[in-house]
Amino acid sequence: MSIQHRWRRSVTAALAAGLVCMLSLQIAPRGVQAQAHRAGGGTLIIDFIADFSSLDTARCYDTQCYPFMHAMYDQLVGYDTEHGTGLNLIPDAAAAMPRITNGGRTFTFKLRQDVRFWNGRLATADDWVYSFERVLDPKTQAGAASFWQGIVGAKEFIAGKAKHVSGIKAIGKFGLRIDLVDPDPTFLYVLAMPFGSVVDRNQIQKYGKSYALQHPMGTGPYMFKDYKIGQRLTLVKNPHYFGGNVGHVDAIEADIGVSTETAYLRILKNQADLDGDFPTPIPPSEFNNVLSDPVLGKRVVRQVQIATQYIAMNVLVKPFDNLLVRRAVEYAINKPLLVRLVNGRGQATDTFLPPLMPGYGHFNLYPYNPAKAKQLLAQAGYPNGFSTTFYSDNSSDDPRISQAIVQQLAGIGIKAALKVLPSPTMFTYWGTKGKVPISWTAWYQDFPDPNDFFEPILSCASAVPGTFNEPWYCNPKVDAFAHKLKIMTDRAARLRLYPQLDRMMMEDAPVVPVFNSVFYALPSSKLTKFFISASPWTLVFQDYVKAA
Amino acid sequence: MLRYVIRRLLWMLLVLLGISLITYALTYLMPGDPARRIAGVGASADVVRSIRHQLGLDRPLWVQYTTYMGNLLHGDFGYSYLQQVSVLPLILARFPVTAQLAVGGLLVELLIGLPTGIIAAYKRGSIFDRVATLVSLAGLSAPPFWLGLILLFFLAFTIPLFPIGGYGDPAIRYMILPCFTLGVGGAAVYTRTFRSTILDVLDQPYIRMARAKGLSEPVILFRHVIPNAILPIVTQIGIDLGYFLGGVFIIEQAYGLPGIGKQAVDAIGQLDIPIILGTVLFAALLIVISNIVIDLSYALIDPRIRY
Repeated sequence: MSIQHRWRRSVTAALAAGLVCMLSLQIAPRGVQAQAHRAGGGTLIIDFIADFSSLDTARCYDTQCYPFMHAMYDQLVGYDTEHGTGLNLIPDAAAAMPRITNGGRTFTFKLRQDVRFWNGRLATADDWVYSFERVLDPKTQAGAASFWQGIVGAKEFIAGKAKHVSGIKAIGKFGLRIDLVDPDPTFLYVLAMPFGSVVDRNQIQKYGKSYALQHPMGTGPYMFKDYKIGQRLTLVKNPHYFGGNVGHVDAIEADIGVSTETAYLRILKNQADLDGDFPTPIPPSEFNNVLSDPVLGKRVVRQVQIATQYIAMNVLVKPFDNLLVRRAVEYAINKPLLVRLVNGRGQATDTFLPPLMPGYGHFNLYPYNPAKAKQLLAQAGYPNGFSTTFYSDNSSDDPRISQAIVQQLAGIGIKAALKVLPSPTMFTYWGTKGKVPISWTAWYQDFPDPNDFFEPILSCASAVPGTFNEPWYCNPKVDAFAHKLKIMTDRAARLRLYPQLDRMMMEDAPVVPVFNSVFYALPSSKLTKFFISASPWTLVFQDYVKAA
Repeated sequence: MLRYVIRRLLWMLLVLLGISLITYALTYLMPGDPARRIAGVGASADVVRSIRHQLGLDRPLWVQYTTYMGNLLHGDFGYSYLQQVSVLPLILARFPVTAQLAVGGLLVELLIGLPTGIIAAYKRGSIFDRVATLVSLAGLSAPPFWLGLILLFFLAFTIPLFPIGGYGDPAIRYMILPCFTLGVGGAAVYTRTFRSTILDVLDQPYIRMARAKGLSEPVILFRHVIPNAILPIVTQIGIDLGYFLGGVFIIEQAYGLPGIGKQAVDAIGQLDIPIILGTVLFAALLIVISNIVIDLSYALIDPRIRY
C-alpha cells in the first residue's frame, strides 16, 4: 500500500513558511515542564488535516482510517502489537489460529462464541460470510477486492455468474472455511486488514449508503458515538467487548481540519494528544527544535517503517530501457544526503525490501560512485548524458527530495526537468504506458510479507495500464521465481530465499531504493504510554494510556 | 420591477447552466482517475475498471453530464465518490460555518472601514487621514494566512483568549479571530472607497446649500452625504458577500474551520468530482442571488434608480 498522499496546496507550504518566520523570532516555547499525572481514562484526541476518505471497512485503505477500523471492528486475526516486533499474527475474533490444509489452500476457523455487535447481537459465521462477500461485491467499490480474488468462486461472483462465493462457507454457527484457488501464505495477513472485519448485514441493509459514516455497527473495543463530517469523529469504550477491558482511554476523538502547525500548538498545550498525519506530524520547520529540546525531545517517539522510498525508471521508455543507463542512475544517487534533506526522517537503504520486513537480507549492488555512473552512461552511448523529465507528486517532502535527485542526476550529465503534480494525477500517469520516464515514489506495506513488495508493483501481472508498477517492470524469470516463493508453505525456507529475489530484481535495476521511512511523532505530555506500531495499523489507540 | 426580477432570474439560470457545463468539462478533463483514487494504489486494474463502471465514469461525457443535470433538477447533487454520502446535505452541513465567517467578516469590514473612511474624508490631509491610509495599505498587504497564524499564536496559544483553531460551541468564541482576519484586509478597501466617494459628495452644491440652510454636520452626514456616497459600498458588499459565501479557503484552512471552501479544496485533491461540482454550483447560485439582491437594493437606496 502506498501511504495516502495528501494533496497539500501551496498555501499549506506558505502556512509552514509563516510559522518559520514567526518561530525564527525565538518565541517558540522551550523546556515545557513535564508534570506528574494519574494514569487511565480520559479522551484521546488526534488531529488530522483532512477528513476521512471512508469509514467503511470495505473501502478504508489509508493510514488515517486504519487505526479507527482497528478500534471499531474485529478481524479473524490481528497483530500482537504489544509484544516483540508487533508483526506477529494472533487470533482476534477467531478462537484460535486456523487449521490450514489442502496444501495451504484451505483455512478453517473456529470462531469465538462471544463476539457481539454493539447492539448486542451475536456475530456468527453467516455474518462473516456476508462481510467477506460484501468486499468482493462490485457494488461496494472496494479496492481491496483485488486481495480476495484468489478465493474459489470469487471471479464468478464478481462477474455476476454466482449468487455467493463458493469458497467461503459457514460451518454451523461458529465455524468458517475459506478455500483458495492456489496456496497463499499471505492470506492470513489479508484477513487481518480492515476489509477482513465482520459487519452487521441488518444495519447495512437498513441504512444503505449512510451506514458507514452515520450508522456503523462493529464489534470492536470502541463504539461509534458521533461523526460530524468535516469536524469530529467520536468513539467511546464498548463496555461489553468480548476481549474484556481492552483500551485504557474512555473515548477517542478525531478532530478534522487541523493543520500540522496548529496541531503542534495544540499538543504543546495538551489540547490534543497526537497529530495523526504521517509521515510529517511534526512541522518540518520545527523538527530539529523539537528533537533538541530537553523536554520535548524526550517525548518524541520514533519508528522505522516497513516502507521504501525509491526512484522508479520506466523500462519501456528510452533511454531507461537500457540496463546500463538504469545502473548508471543507481550509482549516481547519494542516499545519505537525501536522508539529511528530510532531517533524518529516513534510513538509507540499498535493497528494495525494508529491514523490518521478514525475508530481508542486506546486499549492496550499487555503492555510490558518480564516476562509475558516467562511465556506464558512456558505455550506453550517452557520453554527454541526455535530457528527460523527472516526475514527483506534490505531497510532503517529495518535491524537495525530487529537486535534490535532479541535481544529483545533473552531476552525471542527465538533464532532468522536474514536473511536480498532485497525487491523483500521478496515479493516472504512472498507470499510463510510456508516460513517466523516471519518478520519485514510495511503497508502504499492506502487510509484513515480502510478496507485498513484489506482486502488486513489480510483477508482470501488474505491468498493465491503470496499475502501480511505475517502472513497468516485467521479467518472466524473476516473476516465476517470485511466484514459486509466494506459494511455498514452509515459511522459514520461503523467507530465506527472498533476499535472492530482491537481488535478482535489483540486477535489472528498475528501481533505486533510497531510504526507508522513519516516522516521528510528538505526543502530548498527558500521553504516558504511546508508541508507533511497525504493523499496518501504525497507531494502536487501545494500547495508549492517558494521564488524567 | 417584476419584469426586471423575472429577467434577472432567467439570466441566472443561463449563467448557472454555463457554469455547470464549464465546471463539468474541466473536472473531467483534469488528469487523474477518481476510480483509482477510490480503489487505492494496491487495487488491480480489473477492480479499478469495475469501480469506474459502478460510478458510470465509462459512459460518454455528454451522457454523464445530462444525467447529472437531470438529477440536479430533482435536487439530487449526487453522492460523494469517497464518503458515499449525498452531496447536498454535506454542503448544507458545512454552509453555516462559512455563512458565519462571511457575515462576521463583512461586519468587521464595515465596522472598521466605514467610520474610518468617514473620518478620513472629513479630516482630509490630517494625521488621522495619513495614518488611516498607511493602516489600510498594511491591512491590504498582510497575507491572510500569515495574519491568521500570528493571531492564533499570540491570542490563542501564548495568551489563551481564544481556542487554537477548530470550531465548536459557543460558535462566536471560535469565529472572532477568523472573522477579524478575514475582515481586516477588506476593511482597507471600504476605507479607501468610502473616503473617495464622500469627498466627491462633499464637493456637491446641495451640500453647500444644506450648510447654508443651517443644518448641523451630523444631519448633513446621515441625511445627505451617506445616502449619496453609499452605492459603491453596496456594490462592494455584494461582491464580498458572494465571494465569502463561496468559501474562503485560506481562512478556513488557517483556523481549521469546517466550511465549504475547505471542503471544495479537499475534494479537488481527492478527485471527488460530485463534491467539486456541487460546491461550485452552490457557490455560483449564492453569488448570483446576492448580486440580484444588491441590484434591487439600489432602487431602495436611490429613488432615482428605477427598473
